Amino acid sequence: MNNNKFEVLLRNESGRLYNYLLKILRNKEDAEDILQETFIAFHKKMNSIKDSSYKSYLFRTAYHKALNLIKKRNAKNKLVTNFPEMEHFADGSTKNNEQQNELVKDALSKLKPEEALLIDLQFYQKMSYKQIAEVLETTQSAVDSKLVRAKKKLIKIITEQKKMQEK
Amino acid sequence: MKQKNECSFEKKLNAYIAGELSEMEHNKVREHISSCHLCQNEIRNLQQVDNFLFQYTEEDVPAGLNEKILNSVSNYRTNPFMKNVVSFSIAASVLISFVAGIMLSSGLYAETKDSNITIGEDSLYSYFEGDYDV
Ligand SMILES: [Zn+2]
Repeated sequence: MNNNKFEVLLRNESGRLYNYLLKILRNKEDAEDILQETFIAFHKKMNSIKDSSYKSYLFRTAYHKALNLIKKRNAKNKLVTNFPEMEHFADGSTKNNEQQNELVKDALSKLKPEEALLIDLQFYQKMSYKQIAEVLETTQSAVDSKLVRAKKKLIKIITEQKKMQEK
Repeated sequence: MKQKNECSFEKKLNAYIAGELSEMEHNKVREHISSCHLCQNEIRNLQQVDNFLFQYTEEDVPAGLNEKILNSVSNYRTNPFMKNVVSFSIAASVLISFVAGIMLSSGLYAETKDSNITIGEDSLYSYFEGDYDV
């Protein structure tokens, strides 16, 4: 019974979670690993989590696991800067999906992981402030001010990206 | 005259766009925006962010990943489960046939059969429950 529920949830939510992880980790293997770890952790706890909290549990867990990985990476001095950058579409051609996705991943990975999560939850997961506050275990007003800060940073990052492309 | 470059309403714009303000506040902000160039500009910036984020196309979960996850969770659920079912049912059937044999020979089998089986199933379930979180 529970296994069916788990499978339905996995098939419904793994895409969103995977894309969230891709955006902040910018690496498919890492996103796959964390996705798997997240669902395994969820499966263990499933019985003690309310149905209405499944989604926030999944995002919160994925976020913390991704955060740990980012910290480890940073400790090893393997910063995200050695990932594919966008110089290969400086030719002014129309950007394809892959290139557009790279730009978004590039921008979001320059935010703090918590800020990237906030943006993802609001924009891609269409969550309300209340739902986001549940994921991050914080207040709605904290969500608001953090989102405002994150978007201000994003505006700067997008402007920088444009300058780079025009070069 | 020195131009102001900050507006106290600016911080409310994200919540305004997201529809997170109360109706009264929403109307207040809307009215303000119509006469504030700073806020109009900020709204354009926020829309630019949305347009930027909108260009992201969801990528597919790699083939077989969901199945891999399903396998790995069913491994530490189904396998010990199956092992327990087998050993437990062997033990249980031996015990039941032993008890039934005694009762049959003493003529008590018909009255007590059901209650015996219920007790057996109960302990079987609690055993699995305990095993589940390991
Ligand atoms: Zn204003």
